[in-house]
Amino acid sequence: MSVGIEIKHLNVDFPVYSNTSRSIKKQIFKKNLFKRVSKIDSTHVAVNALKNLNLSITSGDRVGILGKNGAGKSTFLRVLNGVYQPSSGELIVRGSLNALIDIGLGLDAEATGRENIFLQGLLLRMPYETIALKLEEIIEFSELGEFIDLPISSYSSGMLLRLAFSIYTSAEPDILVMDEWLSVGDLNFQKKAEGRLLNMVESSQIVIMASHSEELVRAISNRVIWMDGGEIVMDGTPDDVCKKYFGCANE
Amino acid sequence: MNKLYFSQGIRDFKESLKFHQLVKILISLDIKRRYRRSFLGPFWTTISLSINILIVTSIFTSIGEGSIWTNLPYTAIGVLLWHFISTNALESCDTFIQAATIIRQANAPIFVYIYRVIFRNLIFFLHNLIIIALIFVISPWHIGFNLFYAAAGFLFLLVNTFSLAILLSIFTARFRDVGQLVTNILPILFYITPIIWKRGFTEIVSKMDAVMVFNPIYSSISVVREPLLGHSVDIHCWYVVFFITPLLFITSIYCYGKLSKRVAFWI
Repeated sequence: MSVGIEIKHLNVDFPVYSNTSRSIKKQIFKKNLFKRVSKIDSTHVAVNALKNLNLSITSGDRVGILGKNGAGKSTFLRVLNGVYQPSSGELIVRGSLNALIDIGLGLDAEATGRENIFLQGLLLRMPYETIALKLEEIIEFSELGEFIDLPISSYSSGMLLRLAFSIYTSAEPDILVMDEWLSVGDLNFQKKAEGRLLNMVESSQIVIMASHSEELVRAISNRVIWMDGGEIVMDGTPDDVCKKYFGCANE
Repeated sequence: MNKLYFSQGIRDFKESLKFHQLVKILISLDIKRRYRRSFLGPFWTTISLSINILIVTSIFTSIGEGSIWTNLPYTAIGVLLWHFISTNALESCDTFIQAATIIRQANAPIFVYIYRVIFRNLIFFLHNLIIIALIFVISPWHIGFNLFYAAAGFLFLLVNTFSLAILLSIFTARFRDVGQLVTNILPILFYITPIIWKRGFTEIVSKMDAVMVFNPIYSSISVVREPLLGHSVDIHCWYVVFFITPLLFITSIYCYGKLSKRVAFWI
């Protein structure tokens, strides 16, 4: 079975709830007493975040995703990660997938660095034994030293990011999904991190990265997708799409 | 269509078993949090519960019948089981809100976060069992083979708590005021259920005895408490438990299958 992603007619609707629709009391009363009113005063709005996506990504693809804020890039990445379920359409992901989105969000502030390595590792679907094996290497890479056994609430924001980065990049997924290139820590660490991330990119069979940087997209990807308003505007070689996209953006 | 959602729920349930390590670490972090900066940790709850039990028993003994030592095991077991049920219900109301950041980031089946609530409370419940052990040591009564019935009864209670937790977790994620509703209903349920008082306690209560048996909370508690006290269980209680357990379980798995994929959008 080869690694790949198949997407057919994928739609994602985001429900937006008003206060009324979040209250069960109001819902019940509305239905019983003012049945007619509720039909007119519809408080349930859905935003069509992704519209009819059709895409096939195969092993070897390095996909860069371009688009304005709100174009649906992050939603798309989260759908790939299985966080958001498609409202309709088909999504097949073959192979293990890791997403570096909102890194560090799942950390437990009261737990120690060491405990957080296990927690995050398991959330990334790494087997417990693998985490235990990689533990020392992760601690060393994060340069946290003795801090690793202190609750992470005592860490500086740079230390937190270093820890999260070290955990995330210790996984070896078939498919790597990234929201913006990660750059963490001071200058020294950044260099180290860059190398590690590049390594990860190279060892993954598929890389999907959303970015705003032309330089980066050209450096990493061999295929670029331009998204706007939840739709794919263009899908082609980095050269073609970058010229069009950045040409448009500059105008 | 109906069957589809149910089997979806079952599939997720099986899938979630693969995440036992994650559940374990989430629970251990929760428990460590309780012990942190406090040597007694969850035993503080145990102490407060035992004082509670002692006071309630002395009051009810003074206006009812029996001696404090014969009434104490009854009240203690009742209150501890109720505490387990009610804290589970209360904390289920916040399962996904507590785990919101994790859910938006990882794609584990959300059963994981429900297990976290149930098993965390089960461990605290085991802490509290020391109260019953203590009463037993001071004033033993005959249990014998009834212990097996009590264990079976507790298994039913556990399944019911689990089903209830699924339903509450999901509905509180969608409707934010369900939590308040639960907070308000729980004390009422506590008072209308024979937990600290007994069936036939007063004349009015005796008249309503027929209705009392159909209180699922009473039945669930009874099938654990009565055998533990060495008494036989009112067969009606078993009927109610046999009826309510599969019903609640199927409903909750169905709702899970139907709605669990929406939770990420709600939180």
